[in-house]
Amino acid sequence: MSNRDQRWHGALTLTLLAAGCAALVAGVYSVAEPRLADNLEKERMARYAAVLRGTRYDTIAKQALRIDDDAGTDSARAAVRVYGVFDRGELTAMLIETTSVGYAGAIDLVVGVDRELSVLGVRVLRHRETPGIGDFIDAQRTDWIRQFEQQSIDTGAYQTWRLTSDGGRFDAVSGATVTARAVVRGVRDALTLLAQSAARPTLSTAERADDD
Amino acid sequence: MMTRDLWRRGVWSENPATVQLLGLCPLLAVTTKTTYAIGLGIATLIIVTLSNIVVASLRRFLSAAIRIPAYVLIIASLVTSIETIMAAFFPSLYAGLGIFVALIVTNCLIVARAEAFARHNTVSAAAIDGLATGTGFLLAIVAVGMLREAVGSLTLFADFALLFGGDGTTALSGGGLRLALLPPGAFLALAAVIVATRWLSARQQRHPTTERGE
Repeated sequence: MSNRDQRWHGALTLTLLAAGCAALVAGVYSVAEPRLADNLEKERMARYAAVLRGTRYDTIAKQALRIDDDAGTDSARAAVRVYGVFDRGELTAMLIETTSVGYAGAIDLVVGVDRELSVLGVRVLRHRETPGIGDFIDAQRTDWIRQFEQQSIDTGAYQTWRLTSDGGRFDAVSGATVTARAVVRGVRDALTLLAQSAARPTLSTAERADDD
Repeated sequence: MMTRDLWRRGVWSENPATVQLLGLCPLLAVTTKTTYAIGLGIATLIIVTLSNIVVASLRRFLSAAIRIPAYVLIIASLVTSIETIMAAFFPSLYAGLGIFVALIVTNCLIVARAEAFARHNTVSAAAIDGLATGTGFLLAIVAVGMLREAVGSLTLFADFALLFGGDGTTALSGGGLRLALLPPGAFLALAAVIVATRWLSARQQRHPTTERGE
């Protein structure tokens, strides 16, 4: 074979291999997809139940509650979705889904709060922090995430919503300050936004947004 | 004979972690608990075996110029597929192991076995080599993990339920030498394991008991 033939031969082999690999990954994914969606949904429901522990409820609204346009900045509003939690038609709590940026990308959080915006619980829905270092934020790994329970942003406490190493009240974790800081910031900003929202008094009437 | 040789090399005389010093990045990073070490070790074992099999069966087509990109393609697709299958069908195992699987894409140990062995050996030999090397890596990483966890947290196999189901969590006792859990502790623990294995093989050579390889 001449040099040129060899080159064409190599290019062709790689192309075929790439196509084969793509087919493998796509095939596996299409077989697994329904199960994946199912698992995610189950896990999400389990996390919701964990952050609403101690609250009576029978329904979690599918549609997000409206946040007032004059609360926070546009980007802050875009990062937060609030869902009403109801017991026989009466609002008993709210679920906040928000995203914060950690050491290795987005950390998706869900925060359960009661009607006074006091935190019932926080859980991480999804993260890519370093295993063994940044994954202490998972409730299965450590109890770190539980220190948010019963905390609230009211009564001028905003300044203390920081890590101990930054002069606040939440435990820092050595070697993973960025991760810990991101979670504290995410929860704090979501609560602040909700507290600022003039819609807050009307939440009890379960006003729903027109669209998500 | 051939098989036995492959096992001896993979697990002992050419152990990927303690002798060839391959794949150290994940080995150093996740060994704060034995459970994590087992997780990464098992995931590596599976991937290196599969990658060896695929590379060996395609060896006729992989010319020198395209070998390395081909390995990258094969390994990345295998890792992605395994990760997807685990996430879909073994969600509880995935919750514990899943994130380690993604880490393996960059493990040079896998490429090393593809390049050094699988590309000029038969499929069955490559499969055995993958199993042996993977087992060697698993043993080494578990040794480092046990040492670090025992010294650092005074526990062993904490959070074992993360890997194999159940919901028992073990709180850290809080005692122990924290140095072992910090990054320098990883190097010290690995060094200790290497010293121990070298000492054992030196002693073996001074007092040859059974038949000698090589």
